[in-house]
Amino acid sequence: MLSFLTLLTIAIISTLLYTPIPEQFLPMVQMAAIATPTLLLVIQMLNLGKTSRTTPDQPAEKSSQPEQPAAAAKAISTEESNDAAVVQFLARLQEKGRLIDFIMDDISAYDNESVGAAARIVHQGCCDVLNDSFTIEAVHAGEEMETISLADNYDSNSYRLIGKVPDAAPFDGQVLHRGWKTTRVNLPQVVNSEEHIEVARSIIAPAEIEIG
Amino acid sequence: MDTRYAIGIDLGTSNSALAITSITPVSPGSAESVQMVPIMQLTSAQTIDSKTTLPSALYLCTDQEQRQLPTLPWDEGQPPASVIGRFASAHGSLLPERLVTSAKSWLCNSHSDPQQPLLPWNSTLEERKVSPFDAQVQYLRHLRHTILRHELGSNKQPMTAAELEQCTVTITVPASFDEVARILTADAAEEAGWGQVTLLEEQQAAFYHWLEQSGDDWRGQVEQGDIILVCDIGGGTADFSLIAVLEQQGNLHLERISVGDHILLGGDNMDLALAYTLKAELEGDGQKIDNGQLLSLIHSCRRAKETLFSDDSLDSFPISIPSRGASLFAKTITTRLTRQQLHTIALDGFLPITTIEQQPTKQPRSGLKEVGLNYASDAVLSKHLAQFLVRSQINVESNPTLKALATKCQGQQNGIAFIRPSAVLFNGGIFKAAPIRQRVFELLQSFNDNQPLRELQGANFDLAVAKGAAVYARTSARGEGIRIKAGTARSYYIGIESSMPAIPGLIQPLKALCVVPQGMEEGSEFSLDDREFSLMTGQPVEFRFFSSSVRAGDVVGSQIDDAEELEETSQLEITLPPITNTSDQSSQSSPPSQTSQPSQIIPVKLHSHITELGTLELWMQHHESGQRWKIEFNVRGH
Repeated sequence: MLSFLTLLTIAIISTLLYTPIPEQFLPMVQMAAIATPTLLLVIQMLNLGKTSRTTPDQPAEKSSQPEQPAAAAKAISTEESNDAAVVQFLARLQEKGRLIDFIMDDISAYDNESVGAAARIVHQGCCDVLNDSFTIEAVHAGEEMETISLADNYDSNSYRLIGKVPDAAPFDGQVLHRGWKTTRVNLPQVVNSEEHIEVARSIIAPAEIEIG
Repeated sequence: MDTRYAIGIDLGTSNSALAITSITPVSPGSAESVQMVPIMQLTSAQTIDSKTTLPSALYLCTDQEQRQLPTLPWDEGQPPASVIGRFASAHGSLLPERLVTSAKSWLCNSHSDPQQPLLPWNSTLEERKVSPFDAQVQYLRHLRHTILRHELGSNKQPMTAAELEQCTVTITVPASFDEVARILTADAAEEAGWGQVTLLEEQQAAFYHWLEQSGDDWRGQVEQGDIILVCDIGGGTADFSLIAVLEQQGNLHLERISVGDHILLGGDNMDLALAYTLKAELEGDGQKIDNGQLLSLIHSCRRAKETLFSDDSLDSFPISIPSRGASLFAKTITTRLTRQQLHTIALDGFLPITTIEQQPTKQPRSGLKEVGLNYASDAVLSKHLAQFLVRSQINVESNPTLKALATKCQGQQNGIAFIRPSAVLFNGGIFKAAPIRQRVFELLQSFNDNQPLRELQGANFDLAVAKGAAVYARTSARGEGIRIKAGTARSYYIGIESSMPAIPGLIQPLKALCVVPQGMEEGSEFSLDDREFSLMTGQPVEFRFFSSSVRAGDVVGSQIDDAEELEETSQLEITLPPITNTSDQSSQSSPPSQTSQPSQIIPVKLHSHITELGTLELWMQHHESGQRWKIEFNVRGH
């Protein structure tokens, strides 16, 4: 999934960079170029969370755990429930933002106008889902391209230095990208019972059948 | 000492919310905050999440769904036949035959019995239908389970059922609810396990929230003689109330002096109107919009409305409607909502600047009209507001005490007298949009003949009612703090047959006798002394029961020559048991002791009592024996 999104990001960005785009569609493709890496970031965050589950979630999980039958709780591995969490997050992005439809469709067959119109649905819906579960802010509060001086004890998780980096401070440079962080993680609790887990880690969107 | 809590429940037509605050002061000087309680609910077919609001939507699951949908912790593994909340609302909107919404509005629908299985309205799933009352019980049960899992205090322990019984609980109801709808709400709460709850008008709750967040400052923001309009427009309903500010012994007091009718018209109607306009445009261009796409269009129109109203720099909001299938690129339909359209439809359509004499038009109802909910037939909110202000004047004028409170705020235009509020407090999600607040403000100002008008600041349009209800519950538990003097919002009457000789072909008008005056306060009791009823024991007796929101001047015993002027509320029913010989002064109705006793006619007098919890009780009392029997409010729909 990750590589898939990465490819899409590259595809959109290359479209943006190398294909002549009529001016009126430019904002739409730009939007897609921004939205997709954001999603990539989010999904990566989810993956990172696999090993070190974020603390804010834990009380809620704990409180629900004792109610589960002990046998069922044992039967589900951490890996299975983490898989289910990611798949169900994708399910939300599909439900609200049609993300999987967007990515699984053959983009090369359509003009930018059609892609742009679809991007609007993806943007609006995914934006709602992200805002529901995260509070996303820039890591660097200032502007991009401004100069910055980092001291010796700078947070290397929040700032990545590239280019001609000296061995010791001061690290003087220019902000290329502001970075993103989330100050809140509030993922819905995926129902972790034995009979649900297989569905939860496989079905992203059920087929829809209209009766009557 | 254990901490005791005050709980406020906003049992809304489209969304419900729950707030809690501590009754025992936390520590001197610390802020006594009112907290929202997150409500656990299904957010998709696989996930459970806690949200501040619970959509008041009940979805009736299919058998498969019942087996497969996740259960909430309090279901104890037993799959429930229905689901409440976000998933119910989103999923159910695609299966309308299985979705119950607006159950609350059915409680005050005088044409149907809210305890009969009516909902989903027009559904063919007859055996699955639930009553509006049961739907309310289920929402309240869900909220009760939520509070029993909510972690409190420093030790983060959820409260036990025994601790919950010690809490003071307030449930809000629209000011326009009549006594039957109020009693049904209190009964629903009791059935859901909340025990005895206090009822509070939603518009007062919004005002209590404003008082709470203003602190001691509120006295600086209003003055004696002010009349404050609480203008509350939610998703599907509009409700208005007036609160007067008066001074007694140097202190400012508040009194609710008028309430409006229950108007089924709100922000959702705007979204629908926008969506149908765009749908017609698209269909004019040969595009086809199915039901699922219409839902998506309505959703986008709501967002377009919110975005355009909050960002003046935008001229239009582009809208894409996805196809139902998986192909997003080929079949997406695009359109846009322009600012001009939004202005024409939402502002000029629903809230035009009208004059006070323009009243809502009532469309003549054809004889075959299906019952359903009594939706407002005139969508112009401005006219409903004008009607409320005129009717309020009629109400205030009829009572010298109220008239004295409103002297500073009486308006007159083209011979029509109305109340001219001097301040307005907005409530309801629609008012998050500044242009809508501004439009209502301009409308009131144009009614006002440019007399000064202020908007009270510090409203919380979505959560004020739940929070205000918790504040009120805390105030009543402590027995101290500012209270709005209110009492019953309406006066109530029983129908009396005229004792005139029968004339063939002429139907005698039914007279009405006032048994509960408007403004009758909690804990008070009246007796209708100058009228004695002779009732036959063992036989059911029915009375017709009426109400009015514009007759503040009537006192107990006031007679109205034609009950048609009033609104019929329900039927009253009583069956007197034979009188027992013991002359104990018990105030409880005694069960029929012996059926062998012959029927007898006994003289009784009618007593009315407003309980401390705010519900009305009517009793028939036999003077000699001191025994009395409660009159039941008969279910509606006769």
